[in-house]
Amino acid sequence: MNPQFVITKLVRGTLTLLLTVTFVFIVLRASGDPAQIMLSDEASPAAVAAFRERWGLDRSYIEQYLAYLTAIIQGDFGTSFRDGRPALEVVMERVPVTLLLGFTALLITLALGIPSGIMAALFRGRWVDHATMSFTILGHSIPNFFLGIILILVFSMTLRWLPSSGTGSIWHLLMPAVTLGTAAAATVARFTRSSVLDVLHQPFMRTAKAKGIPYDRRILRHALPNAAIPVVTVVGMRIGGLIGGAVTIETVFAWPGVGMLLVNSVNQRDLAVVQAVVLLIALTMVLVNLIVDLTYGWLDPRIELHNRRAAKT
Amino acid sequence: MAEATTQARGGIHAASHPPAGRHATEPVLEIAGLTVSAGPVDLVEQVSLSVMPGETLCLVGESGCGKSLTCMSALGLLDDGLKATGSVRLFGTETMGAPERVINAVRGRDVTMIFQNPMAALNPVKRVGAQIAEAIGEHTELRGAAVDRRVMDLLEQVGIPKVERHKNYYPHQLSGGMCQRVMIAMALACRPKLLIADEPTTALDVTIQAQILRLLRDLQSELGLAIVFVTHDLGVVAEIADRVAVMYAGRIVEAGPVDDLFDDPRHPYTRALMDCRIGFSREPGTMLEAVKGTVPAPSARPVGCNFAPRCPTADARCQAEPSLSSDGARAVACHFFDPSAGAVRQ
Repeated sequence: MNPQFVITKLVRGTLTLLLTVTFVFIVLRASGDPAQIMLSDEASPAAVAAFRERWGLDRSYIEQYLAYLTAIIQGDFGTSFRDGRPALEVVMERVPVTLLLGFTALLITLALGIPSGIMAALFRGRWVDHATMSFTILGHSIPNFFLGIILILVFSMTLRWLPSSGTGSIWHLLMPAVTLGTAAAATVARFTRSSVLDVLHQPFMRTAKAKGIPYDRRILRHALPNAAIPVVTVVGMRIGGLIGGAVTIETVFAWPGVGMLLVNSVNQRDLAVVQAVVLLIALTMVLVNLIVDLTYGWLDPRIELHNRRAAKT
Repeated sequence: MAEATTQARGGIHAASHPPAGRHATEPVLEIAGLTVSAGPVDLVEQVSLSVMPGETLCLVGESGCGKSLTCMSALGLLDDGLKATGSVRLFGTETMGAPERVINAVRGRDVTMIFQNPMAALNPVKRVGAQIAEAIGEHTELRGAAVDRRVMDLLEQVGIPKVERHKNYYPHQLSGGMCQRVMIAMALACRPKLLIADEPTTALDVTIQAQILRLLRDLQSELGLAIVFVTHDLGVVAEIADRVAVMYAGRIVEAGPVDDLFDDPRHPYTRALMDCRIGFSREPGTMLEAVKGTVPAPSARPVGCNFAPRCPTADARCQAEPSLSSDGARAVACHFFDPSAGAVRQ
């Protein structure tokens, strides 16, 4: 992997993060005065002024922005209005729960989506294909929260097999993970199917056939490595969305992760926490994109060469 | 129709003259009554031809006349939507309708194919050396370092410099001509007896074209392999063919030894093609000829002779389909051709 390629990607990622910080800063400041929301309406003007001074809200936006940037670069994401602890700490303690849910969902996505997409492509027009495609349409069209509520109705309320909310055991994990995972599996299955179909019609597949390579090895050695390239993109996007993508599902299942924290913090205008969460989400997105780009270079030699050429000039 | 087919087969059989010293009794490829259809539309109709060991058969015709489909059928490489009927015998074994393992026993080993667009025909994410090695591993007992040595020998044989380095290249790092050389190396990996070349030079520069043709000719005399060469370029035909089969709108209209065909084309379509050539015999300043009209689409082919609407000599007889009849050396599908007289009646 050439360093220039990595550095370019890193610089771009940093720029993306900077834009995100700025955007979040502007939107949050524009959406209301935290002093008014945190303190009750009856609070004395002196108390409000004291609050504003305490949190630096009395300074100009430019000053606030620069102070915030400096702090972030030093790893200081500010203090939560609500419990006075560092925002980063508040967020980080939620990350493991969210990741647990996210990665379980991702495993379900991959285990369902990729094999069914491949089978649908290989048996195009046959019942496997029709069945898979029907399920993907279902998966696409049922909103996540709705599927979650249905699952709760069936498995918690009616059958009383699974807990409807909270965390603590594998049984708690099951329904939210399945809800999250199946919807994404639909997307992945569709992408995999079209990608494999596209590759099956490439001239080099005919070459492999003309070489006398048997069917299963033509698929494994020639079709799938080429078909993997676009699939990596979708899977990468799923991984990038793991931290922040479960907002609705965490709320439906009262899963105490980052998504729920974000919703609560937005409601309470806990600026520092919201900023920390959004930045964390942006950071994972940027990192995962970087990893996806590097994976491309490994999967598809054409991409790496292109960048190596660019680096030479 | 059956009669026509028998006649056609007889015709081209009789027309085959393998070059001296390479006599063999059995054709390496024998196609009889091949029809390729897409749904109700016949794209290739009743094509019969045979190729003897060591000879070069050129399949000539305009785009869309069914040359490539005929070749693809010979190796069982037709796309899913197409259906082939008739008979294809490779080295005496019927492969039409046989399970894939029957054809896989010879495909890639005794009979191989190279394609029009060499860049697209190579797998973009595998090193070229590995792609050649795959063919060797599939069909021979060679393993490990022996395979690697064979790959380098092959690449050297097809004129690729610095094989040590180039075998580790990916297709996109090589030029089109280089990729076609790699394809040829891959095709020759298991010392085949028949090479089917489907317009192998069409996508290449003229100078590269000449190099590839020379390479194929050299390799042919070195290895004694038979070649089916598909092209629409009569210059190429003159250069490499032993025999020529001219196709028009899905059928073979004329077949025979290359010199006879060039000196004395008998089917009106062949004659029209010959008139289109640019050569030294052409008076400078004269207009270039073109075959008037266009090839009918497969779904809009006329009743009877497919060439009749464009034919200067067509008359009422051409409403009936002409059969490919032979006078021994030549086979012509035209009502105006009289095998006993050996010439097309005017």
